[in-house]
Amino acid sequence: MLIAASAFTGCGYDDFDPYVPVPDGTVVPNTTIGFIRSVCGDGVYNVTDDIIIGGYVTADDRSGNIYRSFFIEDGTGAAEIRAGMYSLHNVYRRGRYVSVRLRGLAVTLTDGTLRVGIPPSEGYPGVEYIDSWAVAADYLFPGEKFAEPEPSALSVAQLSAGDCGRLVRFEYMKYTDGTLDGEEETGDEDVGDEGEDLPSVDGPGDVEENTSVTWAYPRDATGTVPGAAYRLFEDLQGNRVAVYTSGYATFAGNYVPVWRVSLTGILGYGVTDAGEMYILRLRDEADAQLQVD
Amino acid sequence: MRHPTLLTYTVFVVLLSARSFTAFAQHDPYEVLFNGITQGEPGPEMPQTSEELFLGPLGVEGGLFGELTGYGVASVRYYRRGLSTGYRSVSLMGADLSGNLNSSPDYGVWSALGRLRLEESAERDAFWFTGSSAAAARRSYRLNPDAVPDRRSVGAFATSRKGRAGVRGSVSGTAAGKLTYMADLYRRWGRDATVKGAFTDKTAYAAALSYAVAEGHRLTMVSAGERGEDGLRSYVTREVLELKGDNYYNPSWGRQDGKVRNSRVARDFVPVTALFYEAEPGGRATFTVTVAYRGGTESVSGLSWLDAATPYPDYYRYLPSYASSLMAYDLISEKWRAGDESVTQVDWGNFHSVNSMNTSTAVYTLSDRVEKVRDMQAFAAFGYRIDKATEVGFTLRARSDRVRRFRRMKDLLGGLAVDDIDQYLYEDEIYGGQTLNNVREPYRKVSEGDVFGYNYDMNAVRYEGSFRAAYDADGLTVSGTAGFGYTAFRRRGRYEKELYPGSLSYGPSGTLAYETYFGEVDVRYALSSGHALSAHIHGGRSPQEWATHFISPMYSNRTTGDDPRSVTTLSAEGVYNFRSRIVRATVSVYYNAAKGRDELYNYWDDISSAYSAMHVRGTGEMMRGAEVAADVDFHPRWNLAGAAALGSYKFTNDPEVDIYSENTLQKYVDGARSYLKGYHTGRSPGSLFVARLSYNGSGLSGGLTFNYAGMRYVAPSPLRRMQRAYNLALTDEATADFVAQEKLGDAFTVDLSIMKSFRVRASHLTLFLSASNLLNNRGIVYGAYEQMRITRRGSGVNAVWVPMGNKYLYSYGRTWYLSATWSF
Repeated sequence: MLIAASAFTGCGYDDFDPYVPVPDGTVVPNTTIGFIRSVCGDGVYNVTDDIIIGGYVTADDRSGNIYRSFFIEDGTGAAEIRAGMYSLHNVYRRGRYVSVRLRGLAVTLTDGTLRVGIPPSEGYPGVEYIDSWAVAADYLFPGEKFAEPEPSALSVAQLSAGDCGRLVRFEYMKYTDGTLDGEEETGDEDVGDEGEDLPSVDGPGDVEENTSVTWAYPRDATGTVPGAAYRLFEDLQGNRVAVYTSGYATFAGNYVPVWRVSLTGILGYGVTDAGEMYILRLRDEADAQLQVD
Repeated sequence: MRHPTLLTYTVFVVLLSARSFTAFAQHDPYEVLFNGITQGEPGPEMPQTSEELFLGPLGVEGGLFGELTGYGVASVRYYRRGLSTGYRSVSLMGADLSGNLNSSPDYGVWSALGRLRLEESAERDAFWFTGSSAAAARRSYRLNPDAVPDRRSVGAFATSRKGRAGVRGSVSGTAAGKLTYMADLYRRWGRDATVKGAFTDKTAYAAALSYAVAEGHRLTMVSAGERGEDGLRSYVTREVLELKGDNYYNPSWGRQDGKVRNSRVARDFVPVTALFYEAEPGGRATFTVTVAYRGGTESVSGLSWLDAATPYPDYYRYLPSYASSLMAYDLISEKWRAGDESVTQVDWGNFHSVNSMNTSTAVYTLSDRVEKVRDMQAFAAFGYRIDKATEVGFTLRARSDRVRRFRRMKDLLGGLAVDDIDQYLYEDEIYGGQTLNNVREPYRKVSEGDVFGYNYDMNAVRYEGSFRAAYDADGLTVSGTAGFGYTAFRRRGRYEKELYPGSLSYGPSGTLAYETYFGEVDVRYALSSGHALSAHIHGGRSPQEWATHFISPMYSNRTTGDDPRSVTTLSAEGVYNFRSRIVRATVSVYYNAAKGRDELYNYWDDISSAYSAMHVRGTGEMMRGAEVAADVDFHPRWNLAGAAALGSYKFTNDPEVDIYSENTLQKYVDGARSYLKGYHTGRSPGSLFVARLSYNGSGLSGGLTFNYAGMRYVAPSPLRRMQRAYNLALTDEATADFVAQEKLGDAFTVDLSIMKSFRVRASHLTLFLSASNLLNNRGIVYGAYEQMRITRRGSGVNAVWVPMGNKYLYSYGRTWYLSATWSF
């Protein structure tokens, strides 16, 4: 009878109560990103002091236009965290507060943008990707706080090197016919493996509102390697900025709008075929908003 | 006449269990190792008729060699004579227990029937052969009412493996002279003491009723099944094992609220019920009819993820060998060696955290891959004895199978819902806009318990008939059997996948049909009362595994070809048997060959960077060798037995390979070769030796067994033996990496068992203790396989392509087992 009764009961080895989240230990910054920027001259600095910075994530890799990195800001400045893993946006998602323990890492200013990563191997020109969740767990501490990042409304004319890496917005920008091929940042071998999913967004809008120019050159049915592109936009004063889009971005094949738009993105600086200029990297296609008046 | 002792029977039962686990070895080699061991009763006598001299030919079950080797080689992957489960069949009163759509016999039912102690034999009877021409190994169960004792027993056991404890009760007897009954209920549970995350929680039943309707007419019903769940372990790479410093590392579990939770849990309950009618009108003719139903559900859980990092901790990119910097290499290595569970185990906390932040769709989920089985069959056999020496018979079988396969959401891990889209296609740059799994229910939100992902039926029918004639006189027995059959199957999609519109995924596929046949000749000659020779030959053609016909079986109706080719099998053996008052001995040589076998691999192709289907066509295998076994009663209470085998199990040709893109279903590699000829199949050790010394006293018995297995190889991957892989190997060293087949170390174990029985009036109590792998050798690889992945290491001009590391599963070190049984 005992055996018969036990036949209809289980031991519950696979039964679990609803998960109760355990708050992460808070890692509190002890300095600002602005300070790190200010002491960071040319070259790469291996950090040996117990320095912790922190900030809200302003841009992540969800759309594929930012590659293996995310950006944080703390009000004094911005930094690109060269995490190096894929699908970072699930953990270091936009709006989440992330602390970064710098000791053991390296920092550098590259084209005005503060970059944080692994100390480089010999001959490597910048900081390297952390490239491992196990390693990142010792340096990057996602917190419980969230705040939707607000871009700084700036005009192209007033930009300075200190703005690089920040989330900025330009108003009434219009696409010019200038089209420059960009250098793709990604490596082919990293695309298409398991778990590295890229999200899709809505397709191109009303064709009448768009040019026949796409943001970049995505892979087509023939399997061509995706290509990045710069699209030149100018403001009402005729100041120009290049918008960089990766061929791996989910909106790479969508059309660039013909009307004036506000453009939000991460500011950078670099050399294009049109010369040195500020470069904007949209986080996704929603960062280009139509402005009709 | 030799009377088996209690110990002999116990070993016999363990043999059954050992065979069972090999059938399910991809889950866990010790899955059912101790099934059915709690009975301490003397079982039905081993076959003692002259048939005993002949058992063990083509059928690789049973016989003296099988009795001696089955348990001893439990520590390694072992298929006697290199014949995998696809070549085997198990029948219950004529009903084939092998799934028509799954060639492996159902191990749970098999074990339950073993505990019920139905009459069990390696098939040699006119009415019981299955008719499956691929079946070179046969085992059948039937109820013999004359051998059913009037008995009740209860027992309990404990062991150091998973299923740490168990109880069992059984009853059998006869009522009113016409009704015979047998019933057995068995339960075991417990977490594995060696492999973390592994557990068992199972209940099995078996019952039989037999009623003598009239003189010469009998109606019998047998039903058996096993229900429960198993926490599984996984094969892992050498790199991981060395980092962890633990051959029993299991990456499948992690902690949730401090408790160990396994992501891979198998659940099943597929009972079988058979109704059997037999008649012997007039004494010369026999007639039997069996109808059987097998139905139920089995599933295995696993993690799913969408647009997120792979959740399994032993993913190759997470390991030191893939680190891009020395700093990362050192740090990752340190964490693995320190046993940091946030790195070495599944991170349930992270899954819940990530899901709680994603309000639109869950990122990480746990889902079951489910199979719902429905199998019906009818079998009839007619036999007629023409005269004292000659008999003839024929059989007919009709069978209908359906397996429905789908994915079912088990746990959203704190997420609200998930979109029913293709998680792999989602990332595709070209086809990422066609991710809907079912356009007939677009944008459906999947909740826990919902079916999603894929959903289809496989339907199969099989009709068979066979004829047998036998002559038996003056010590000579000659029999011949011929059979013909028709098998057809087709897929029916319940989802219309966006990528494969219309009938490409939805509704029925075309029907794939085979005409099959086999022939068999069996000659036996008794030279004298103690010497006998026998020879057997069996050949035929049988269907391919159904899944090899579809490029993407889970999602599409598109086939790999409309004209399926059969598998051709040929088996032959010669056996010499000797028996005297104190010695039994057998020597056999065998040859088994299979030609034209297809295989299908759905995998990520690193060379083309695409989800692909590899169709390997026309593989040939040859398995040949010799076996020797002897058993000597050198003292009234002592027995010495030994068995040795030497075999060669190799691929005999370079099969053609087609590779299809899973996105387009188009072939992008056509008719290439996989240079497999000469490679070992890796299915079974090439050399085997077992020696057993046993003592049978009054009320006390015991045995010491020495086991050795050598010439073992890792099962090869066809991908690594293709020119397209060799082309990536730029140096001789790199080429050698692709070409080489790893030889596994030899396995040597010593086992001990002791049994003591106490008689108390009409009842008795039996205690049984055994220790396996007494020398605690924890370095024995149970089985291993090559991955279908290759990877690029380094960068620029220093980049080289290398095959990903082989994956291994280790056998247990020393384990013990203790049982107590009271029979009355």
